[in-house]
Amino acid sequence: MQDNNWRILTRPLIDDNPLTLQILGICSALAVTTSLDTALLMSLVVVCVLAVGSAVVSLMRRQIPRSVRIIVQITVIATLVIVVDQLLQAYAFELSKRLSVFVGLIITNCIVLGRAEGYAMHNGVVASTLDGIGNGLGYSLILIMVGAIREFFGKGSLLNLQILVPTSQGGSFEPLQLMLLPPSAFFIIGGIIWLIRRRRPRQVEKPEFSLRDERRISK
Amino acid sequence: MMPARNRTDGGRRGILRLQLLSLLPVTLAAILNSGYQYLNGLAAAPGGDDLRSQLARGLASSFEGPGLYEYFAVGLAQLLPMLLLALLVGGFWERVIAERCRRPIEPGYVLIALLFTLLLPGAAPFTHIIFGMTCAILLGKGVFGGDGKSFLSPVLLGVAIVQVSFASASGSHPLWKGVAGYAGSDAFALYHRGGEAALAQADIDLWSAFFGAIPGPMGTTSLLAVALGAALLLLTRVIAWRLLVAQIIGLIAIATLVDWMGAETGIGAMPAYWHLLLGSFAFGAVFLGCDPVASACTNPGRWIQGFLIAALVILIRVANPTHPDAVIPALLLASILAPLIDHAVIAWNIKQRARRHV
Repeated sequence: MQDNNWRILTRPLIDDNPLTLQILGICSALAVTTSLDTALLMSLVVVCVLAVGSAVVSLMRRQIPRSVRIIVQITVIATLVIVVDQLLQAYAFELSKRLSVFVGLIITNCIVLGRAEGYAMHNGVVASTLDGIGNGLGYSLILIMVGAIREFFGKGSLLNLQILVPTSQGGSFEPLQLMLLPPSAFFIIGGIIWLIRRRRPRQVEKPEFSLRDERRISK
Repeated sequence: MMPARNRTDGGRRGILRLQLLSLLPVTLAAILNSGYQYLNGLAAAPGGDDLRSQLARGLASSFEGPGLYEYFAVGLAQLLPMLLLALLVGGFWERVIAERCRRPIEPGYVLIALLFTLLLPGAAPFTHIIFGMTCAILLGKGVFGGDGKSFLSPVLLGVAIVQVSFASASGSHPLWKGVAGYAGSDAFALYHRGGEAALAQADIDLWSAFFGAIPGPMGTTSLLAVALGAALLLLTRVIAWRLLVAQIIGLIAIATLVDWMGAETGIGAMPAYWHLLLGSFAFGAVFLGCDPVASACTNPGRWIQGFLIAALVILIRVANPTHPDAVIPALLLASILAPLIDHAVIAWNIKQRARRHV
């Protein structure tokens, strides 16, 4: 049982990662990863919401009528997100201003609703909580990697600590403005997906078609 | 065993050779003009201390006075290192991809490197070249295509990424006259800031713009050289004449239209001939907009894409002050839309024919 719980917690990190395998929650991953601190805070918030949300939905799963289950799940998630949002505004106002609407938008984050509907509705409290934490951590892992890469190459700093001196201050590092624009997150996430699938060829999807020329060369 | 493939490869290589040949006048003009601009800049500002500036200054002092030979030598000292570096970086990644995918090395990277270099300013830092060529070959050629299969030109991708990434790659940056520390800039950016008066002050008239003795991206300044290359490509039917004609007519028509609509100053009031002469429109239209692989391949589609490119160039030039010479983003956008245009044209054609035969 211990082993099984361990798998539930760790499987979403790489093998079944919500961002890189299921391609969910991309929107927020583009928006909050211009610097590492916002990525970290967003990760923390999503882990909390996912863990508590999955636990609550799992506890209520026998009482929820099937026909209104999505509404109930959304209500639970929305309540949690609003509480977290208020907490952030109270204790980390500057950061919460930079995260702007994206904390509120966790309500519509596919990962949260997906785990509630796909897992917590059919499994016990312990397993659901672990699954929520695991998926949150899988999301966080990618978010933190992307945030670190973007902040390092876009500003030459990490967690607002200047590591490379930019040319505007007399240094030799020319910041990559591309990294501060949303498309760069697409490139980076694409690169991460490619890396993971090289290591785990099982995740590679079958090509929908192949060029005739290439088929002949491979023979 | 594979006659068909050999034939297509041979054809592809022949086209590549023609494309490289058509770039010869442009490259010569680029060398001469970079030398001319550099020496001009040197008269106004001391220039940087880096290796390239020292080399060019040394070359300049070994000639008695300004002349074609001197311009050529100094320009070559500017362009050659950049081109060699671009070839080196491109060749390296091409080799890596070829080995990984177990396919022969495709020679298209040579054309990509040459076009990429010609679209850079004379003193582009080597980091820009390395970064841009890496993106062009890895993303544009390796991930999204390959010789004869790219859905957008890797050159466009590389240049666009460099322009978006680095502030100093924009046309109004002081780097652009070729001498670090000299506050000249791209001829188009000059017009952008001061109109005809600024051009006159910098000694730019219609003739110097036609022959290409103006500051700008290295290969794109001379309309004459671009026209020579275009003539070769048109005669050998490497590029589709409809695409080229549509772009030029479109540019002239839309620029005149915008002029009529009553802008008093700025780019809106810029006459059509300046749109054609300044900036990299002519070069982009011939060598990138008519890309035989990545542009529309139906005849109505070619007209549509040509007008679209022209409209986007004018639109971005007039509406977006942060991106004066709008050719690269316009071409990129039109190139992405090319398959969609073709798809619509073919669907429309099928519908017409079906209606005729009910």
